[in-house]
Amino acid sequence: MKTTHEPVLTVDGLVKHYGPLHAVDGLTFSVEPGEIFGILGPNGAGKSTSLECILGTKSMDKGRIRIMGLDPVQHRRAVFARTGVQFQDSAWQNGIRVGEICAATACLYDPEPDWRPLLEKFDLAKRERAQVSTLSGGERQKLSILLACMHAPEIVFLDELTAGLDPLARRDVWKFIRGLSEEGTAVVLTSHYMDEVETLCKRGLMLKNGAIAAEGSIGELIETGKGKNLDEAYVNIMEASV
Amino acid sequence: MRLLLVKIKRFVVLSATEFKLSLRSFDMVLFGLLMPIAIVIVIGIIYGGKDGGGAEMIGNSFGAYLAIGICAVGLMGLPLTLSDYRQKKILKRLAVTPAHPALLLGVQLFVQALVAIFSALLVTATGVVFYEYAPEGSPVLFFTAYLLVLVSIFSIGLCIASVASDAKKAGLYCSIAYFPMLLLSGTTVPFEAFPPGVQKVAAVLPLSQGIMLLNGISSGDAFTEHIARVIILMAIAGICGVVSVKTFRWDMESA
Repeated sequence: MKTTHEPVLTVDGLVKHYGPLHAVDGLTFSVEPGEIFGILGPNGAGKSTSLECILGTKSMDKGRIRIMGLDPVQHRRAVFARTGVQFQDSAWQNGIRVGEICAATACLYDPEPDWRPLLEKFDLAKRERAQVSTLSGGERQKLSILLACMHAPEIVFLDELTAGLDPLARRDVWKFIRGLSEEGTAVVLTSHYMDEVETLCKRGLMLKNGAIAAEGSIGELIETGKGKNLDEAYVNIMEASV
Repeated sequence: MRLLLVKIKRFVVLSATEFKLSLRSFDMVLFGLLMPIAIVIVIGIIYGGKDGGGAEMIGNSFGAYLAIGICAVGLMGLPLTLSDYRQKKILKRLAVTPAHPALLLGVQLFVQALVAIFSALLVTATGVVFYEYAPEGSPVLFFTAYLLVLVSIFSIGLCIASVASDAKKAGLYCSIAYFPMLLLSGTTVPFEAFPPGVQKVAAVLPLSQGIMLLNGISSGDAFTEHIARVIILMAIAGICGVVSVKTFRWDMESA
């Protein structure tokens, strides 16, 4: 029996200017439940800005965003009760400990999630009493992914999810993300690591100067870029003159 | 009923965390707790303890010593913490959770108020134990007046946190509000020691009004004798409270 899914995220004609500069220029895509969707592009292509406009933490100039059918600005609290976000520039209160930030985050959700199993899973359990500022870059990155996912959200946004991770930790995070997807959580991630996108994502789009340069399944992206693999296709697309 | 319990638990967990954090940063302990006590001790020593005029001196300016704690917390700790959280994007991270802004502001207000009240208790204990200072008037009335001054000064602090565009500006505005009030309102130099011209200017400051109210109540005055002060303090709290809620932002660049 076939089931038809409503997309869990729809982005329709998103435009964001900074003065005369078009940081994001007409972004349109949708993401299905359980899908892992990649937004690729070099630094400055507008990945983070797009993400922030979608989440409503930045205002947009044009466009219509729906997360689980709701406007994330108007229905902020309802949307983020079931949405997880990991920003690129996670920051923490001075002197806060790992366990404290986990407890303070968990109490915001209803029902309150149990974060200790996740701490085990991410190999951070022994660091529960450590101040966040003393963690390594990789540990901090894992912590911010954990905080974004602890309440079993229906959609998770991850901005540069494996930045600063060593290869082993990276593989653990990938495994975790795949697990989320198998349980039905949609994942939207930004990345400029093509191996990561090829391993994780079914579909995605490539941003260049704020506009979509290619989109579709990973196979279609490779085809558009006329490459042997995603890496080659990406380089071809980004180097092509406009 | 269940929802109420969830909300209470949330408030308690967040407050406990923030309270621990504020004790971990030494600024608050120094300026909010130790400085007011040090001033009471110094005044006591200068004026000769219980046999000299120490007790009387402390009695005359009792409100001022409490106000030092209120100011350190309300005009420094509170706005600096909030603008720091905004600058560091801690508020932005909270903006993508179901947390209500009122919850976050409420937690900060509550935690900082606890620090100020703790400071007030220590100051009172120091005066009573070492200099046999005996407050007059009704304790309930005095505590009410104290809370009014606290809410009023805190609302100025909240307003600064909302209006300042970054942590640096917040620091500047805090200093502009904090130091003149601290110097001119009779907290460090007794108000009566100023020439009449300076007294007139200083009397306009909200903190001066608050201290006069506290001094009056602690020497046995009734509320009705200070009705104008009560109204001024309530008006400040109302106006600044509305401004800070209306201009609340999660992020500096969200506009």
